[in-house]
Amino acid sequence: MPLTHPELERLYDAHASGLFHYLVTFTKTEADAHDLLQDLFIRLARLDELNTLQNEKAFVFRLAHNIAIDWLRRRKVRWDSEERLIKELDGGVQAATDPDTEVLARHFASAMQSLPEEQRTIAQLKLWDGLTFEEIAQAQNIPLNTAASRYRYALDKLRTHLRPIYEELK
Amino acid sequence: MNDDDFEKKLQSLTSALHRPDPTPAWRADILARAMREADVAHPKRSLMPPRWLVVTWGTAWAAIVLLNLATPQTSTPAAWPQAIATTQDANAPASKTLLAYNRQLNLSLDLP
Repeated sequence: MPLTHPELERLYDAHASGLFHYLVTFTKTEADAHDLLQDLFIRLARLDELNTLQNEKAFVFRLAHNIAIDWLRRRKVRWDSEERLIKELDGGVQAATDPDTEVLARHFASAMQSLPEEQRTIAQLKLWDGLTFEEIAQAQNIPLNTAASRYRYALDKLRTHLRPIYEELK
Repeated sequence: MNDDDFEKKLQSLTSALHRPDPTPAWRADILARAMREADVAHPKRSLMPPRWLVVTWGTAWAAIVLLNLATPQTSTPAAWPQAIATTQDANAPASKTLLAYNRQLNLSLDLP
């Protein structure tokens, strides 16, 4: 059975925020991420049925991952968009946070940008969206051990970047 | 700081960072377009049979009715037993007339 309108609405409410954030890590711009999110929901709507054997969250993130990879292949825009994202994130610390957290958050954002893409996307799925390694492995179509080891490498690099400032602020 | 503490610290920092979010206005647009696509990809099924089947079925019934009206009715099924009974009865007046006529014909032709 194809997805009904209420089911599409439920999927949107449950996952759109995380999917959009994930798509932005590839597109670097919110406008492009919006287009990919639209594309993703059109693909969901065209499905004959949602694969109930798979984890729903992992399934929609996998669809997002595939759409983003296709988009990257079509558009080779990584070079200038990297700079744009750093600028966006520089101004992206929320004002209500205390000064120490703000400093740490800025360094964290900068450290995230220094990670290779395959580590950054996994760190984001784990830290922001709370996906398990199994869900990440399904979403990115990689072995479970690869997902776990990439995350471990990402944490090590983040720790190396953040340790000096963390020690200073403590 | 061990791995778990560091991970928790990072998770707490994520809330301090700006997270790009789809605006509420996008929800209606994105879902409306997706639903239009869904309706195109999966048109609602009608309870009516396909048009070609209705046309064929109607034509066949029209032909049956026309043939039925155009064919002259020579006998009715209810009259059949009576007719059979009549032909089997050698003493019936019609049979006697036929036999007499046959005899008269033989005589006139002088057949043995």
